[in-house]
Amino acid sequence: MKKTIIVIFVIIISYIIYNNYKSLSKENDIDFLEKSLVKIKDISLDTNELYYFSNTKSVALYYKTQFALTPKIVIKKEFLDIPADSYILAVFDNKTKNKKLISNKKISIKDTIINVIDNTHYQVMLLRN
Amino acid sequence: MILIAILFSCFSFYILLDNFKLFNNKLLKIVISIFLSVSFLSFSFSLSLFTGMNFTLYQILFLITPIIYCIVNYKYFTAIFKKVDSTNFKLLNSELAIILFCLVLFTSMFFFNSLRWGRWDAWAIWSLHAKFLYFNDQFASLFTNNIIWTHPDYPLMLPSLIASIWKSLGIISPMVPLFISYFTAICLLLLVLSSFFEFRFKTLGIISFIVVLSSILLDYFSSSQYSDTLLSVFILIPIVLKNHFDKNKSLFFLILIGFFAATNGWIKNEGVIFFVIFFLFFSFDNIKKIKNIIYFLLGALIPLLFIIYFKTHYAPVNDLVNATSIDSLNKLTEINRYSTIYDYLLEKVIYKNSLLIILLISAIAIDYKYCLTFDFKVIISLFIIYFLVYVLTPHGLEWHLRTSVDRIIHHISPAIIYTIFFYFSQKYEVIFAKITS
Repeated sequence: MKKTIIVIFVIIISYIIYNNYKSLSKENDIDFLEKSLVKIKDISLDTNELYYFSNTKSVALYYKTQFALTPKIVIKKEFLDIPADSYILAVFDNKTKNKKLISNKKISIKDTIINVIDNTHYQVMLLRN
Repeated sequence: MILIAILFSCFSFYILLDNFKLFNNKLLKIVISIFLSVSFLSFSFSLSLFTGMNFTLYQILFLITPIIYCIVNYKYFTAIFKKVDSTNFKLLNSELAIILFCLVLFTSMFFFNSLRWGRWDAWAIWSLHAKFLYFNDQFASLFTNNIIWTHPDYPLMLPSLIASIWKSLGIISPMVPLFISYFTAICLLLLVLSSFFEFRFKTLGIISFIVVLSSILLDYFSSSQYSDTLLSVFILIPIVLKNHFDKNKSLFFLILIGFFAATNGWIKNEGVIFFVIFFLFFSFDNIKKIKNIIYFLLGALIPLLFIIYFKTHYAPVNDLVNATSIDSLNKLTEINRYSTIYDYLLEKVIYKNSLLIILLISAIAIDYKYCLTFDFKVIISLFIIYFLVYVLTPHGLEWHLRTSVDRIIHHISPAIIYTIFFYFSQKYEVIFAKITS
């Protein structure tokens, strides 16, 4: 009898896990962002520090960007505090109406290194100031 | 490969516990072996990072060592799988069905509440740290003040477990932190259950198991993929072991108690506070038995060395420590801070954890001597220190309370429930023995 109870238990648990595994396998915001940032993650730079700007004030997006780009370090600073020749990462959330990067000072760009356009979720650009 | 290594490591620790004859109950031996294995996985993986060891070599070493131990102790290894029960302890079918039904209920609630990559702190802190550890040549980049919001000073137990499995699988999968959280919570429940089974209190064990299950189902922390559930397990383990030591005076218990108490500091910074409190009360209790204190410290040695090395070589200064100054002490005299904390605790603890409070008040009302027990003194001291941290916090008080009160309740609630049931099981041992026999 005990064996039967245990077998039933294992079957139910396996079913619960399998059922939830399917829903937990569906990609979310973090995965979409990771996909948009994959080219930037793979590019070899002379530094592992990128300065973050976005069209949204969302702290979550900044944290998720860091999560997606690890082991690179994503730093959030005022534009004037960024050293010359630094890499700037611009992350545009397509769900946000604002299409301009949020910054106290106008961001001047010397070079665009990568521009990844994903019309569904995010557009990301790697720039050099 | 690392999963197979964990399995053999569990077998090895099981054999070790068997050789020292610490417990009779198989389930308790399994649970303690699992937590010994994951602790050693975390310490050894962190050591491989600190020393720059090749991961493949590390995996081979971590796999071979327990396999050799199992081969050397082949007789004991095969005995694990034999159905020998010298204690005549058997569960009725109905009791087994209740326990398994509760586990089914817990599993469905756990996965129903779970999110891919976990809740905020899971991906912003724990899994993020694990990602840094995954890139072993660049893991030290984590310890920078440029991303201080992720608290790089937090200890590495959970991140190292996640990272080691990710590296072994060769993929950064959100399922790894999810299943680590799931098994941690399951083991927490089984620890409570098996500890009472060891004392042959079946009914009481099942009741306390259900009460702990209800309390952790009511908060979402077990499914959040934070390290708080891991901390609550490691707070509970030394308390459980200490209670078993009082019955079986094997000195090996003391090494285990010291090890698990100190490992708390490798999970979260709050764990360091727990260890200090536990050590102080333990030393006070054993003031005339210096040998006991030495064995305890012997067990605590490895975790303490790791914590000290990590804190002195890698971790930036903790934000609370960094921002607290002599001026902060003035906050001790600000009465309104106490009333804010009191109001918040009233709301969070009394209204949202009423089960816990009812149990605690009932226990004290039935027998106030519960408050004089070692376990209660440790838990209440931890709670008082948490309270003082709130009084002195350099952060906004309301923000600090909002983001952490639930967690500290989650840290101590399984221990409170367990110790109440344990205290009364010992006090009314004869009555409970009759009920459960």
